[in-house]
Amino acid sequence: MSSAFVAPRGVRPQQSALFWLAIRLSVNVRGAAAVRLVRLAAGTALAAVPLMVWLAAGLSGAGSDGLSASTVVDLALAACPGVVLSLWAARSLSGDRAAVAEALRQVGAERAAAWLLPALRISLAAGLGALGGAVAVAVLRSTLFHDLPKRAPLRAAVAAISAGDWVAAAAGVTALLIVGALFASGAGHRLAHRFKSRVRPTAEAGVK
Amino acid sequence: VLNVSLPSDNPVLDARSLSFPADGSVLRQVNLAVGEGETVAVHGPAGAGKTVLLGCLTGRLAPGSGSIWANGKAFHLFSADQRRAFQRRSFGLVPQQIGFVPELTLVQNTALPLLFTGTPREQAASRALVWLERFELGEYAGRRIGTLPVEALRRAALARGMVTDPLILFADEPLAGLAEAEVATIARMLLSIARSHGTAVVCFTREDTMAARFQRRVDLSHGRTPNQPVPTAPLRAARAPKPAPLQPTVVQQPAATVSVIGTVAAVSGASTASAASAVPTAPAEPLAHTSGPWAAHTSPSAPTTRPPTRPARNSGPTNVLLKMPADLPTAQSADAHDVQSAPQTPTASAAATPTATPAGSPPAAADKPVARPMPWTTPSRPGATPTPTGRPVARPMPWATPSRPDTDPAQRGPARPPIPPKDPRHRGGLPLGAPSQVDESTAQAQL
Repeated sequence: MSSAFVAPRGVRPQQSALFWLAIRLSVNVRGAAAVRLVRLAAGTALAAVPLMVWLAAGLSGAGSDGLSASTVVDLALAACPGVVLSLWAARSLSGDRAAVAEALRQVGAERAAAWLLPALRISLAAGLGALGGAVAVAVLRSTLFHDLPKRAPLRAAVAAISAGDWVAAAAGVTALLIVGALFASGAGHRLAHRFKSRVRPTAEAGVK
Repeated sequence: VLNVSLPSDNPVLDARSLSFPADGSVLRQVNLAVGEGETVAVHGPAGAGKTVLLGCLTGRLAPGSGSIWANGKAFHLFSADQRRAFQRRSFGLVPQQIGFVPELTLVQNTALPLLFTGTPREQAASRALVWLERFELGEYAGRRIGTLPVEALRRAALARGMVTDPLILFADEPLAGLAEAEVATIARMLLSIARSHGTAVVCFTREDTMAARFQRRVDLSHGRTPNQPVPTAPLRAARAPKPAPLQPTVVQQPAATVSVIGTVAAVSGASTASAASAVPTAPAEPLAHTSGPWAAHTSPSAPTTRPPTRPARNSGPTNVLLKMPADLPTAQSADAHDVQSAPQTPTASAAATPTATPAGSPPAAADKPVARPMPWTTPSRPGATPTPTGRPVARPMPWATPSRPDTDPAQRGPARPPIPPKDPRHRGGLPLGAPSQVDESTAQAQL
């Protein structure tokens, strides 16, 4: 019965239009939204440095004897300013993200596209900041190794981390900070809601 | 001058027995039909269910029961993708909370609906610019959204809704928050543009002045159109602690304007029955209606028959101008309901003068505030009482407006002069005088 209407070809959004919108919304940002995005990138860069060291040390197995509990606490405390700044900036971007998503839905965008396009720039800013911090740690690890006191517990851990662990840790930290920024901006809530509604289909009964 | 506006035979939107959710606690058995190019205002207070009805009509919400036929297609049976594709092509939407992308300029925002229908970007931008200039926004085209005044944003939302040249434009409080002068200007602009493009406009508003600008008005109260009983159970107690009294269905047009769609008459002031009866032939099956005990489609089950497909894009409404004498006898608003419920006569000329009586004869039942018998009044209708002539007469319904002085026997003056018989030569069917006293040229001049 539902075949009464078949969507003709060309009705679906063109990929080029979506690509143009993605670039336009992610790169060409001005005003207050641009300031918030820069703030988010700076926060994730600050948070990425200690998080990456901790993650790389854990991946290399140096944590078994090299990373004590006090070292982990020290790394967590070092990550606090960056994490707080990231959360604050991402939270302040939630209004912009929701407004753009609603505007796109009103003009006929698919729900996924309406979610993805504004979330893309948040992901981009958070990812660029995290990558910047990770690359900085990877490039400056020899300097870091030499500057640490010889009896510092972190010195042995840093010395044991291989190049591959650094790369894996950079990817992990970037992904972690992107997901955190998305959830802080409210974009992750929709994913969680969809997951819940799939688990309990009656939750959204009647509402498409 | 009486302006009778008739929609085309096939409504572009026909919603039947809509309930939301399934228990009808928000919307219950709401019917709405919109003819091509017709402008309809769905009027009701906050919490009446206007936005929910809008969501059901546009496919954003799935009604618990009922059916929606859009342009002859079973919109309610579409899948989500089909519905979205149909929505993009055929519906324009002006939501209450207008959303613009602040990073884009006004012309880019206006072109977005076209981009999502697959229009190339350059073509979409040029068409958006044309629509912005139609709404006198050409000077703002290159500016960002954040720098525009509110009034320009409202107009831009209308331009964005019309840019795809939709069959129906849905507008939810489109001009709320604007000054009355601006509302008048923009509403006039919107309605004239919609009329020139054959686009039907369905406006959901709570303001009487806004609703009065449209050809037809449908009142919505507590999720129901008038004539529907308000449940006494605590079904809607949380949302509506104090149900407002029901109002007559449609109406309030400026100065004796009558809008009729299918079997529903939008009536104002006097001469309801006469004006509505002057409507040319309607299809045998009523296609448009409001809810109520006499509505043509009040069955909660989905219809088994499908309304005919709209044949042509520009077969717009027919406008009939009729001359109305100032001293035309009036009818009670209950007559309007008679007209709404009654099947149309097969020929317009036969129903030309339903209020006419033979010249020189005394007016029937001059001392009783009863409506004049209509030739098409259904004899078995509840509430009808037989008259000495054997014809049933409508009894005023409880929700009918109070008796007018000229129909109230306590306030009525001397008996009205006899009304001349109908003259089939007059298309409007309005009493222009006895046939022996009025020649054809005079009647034609008055028409």
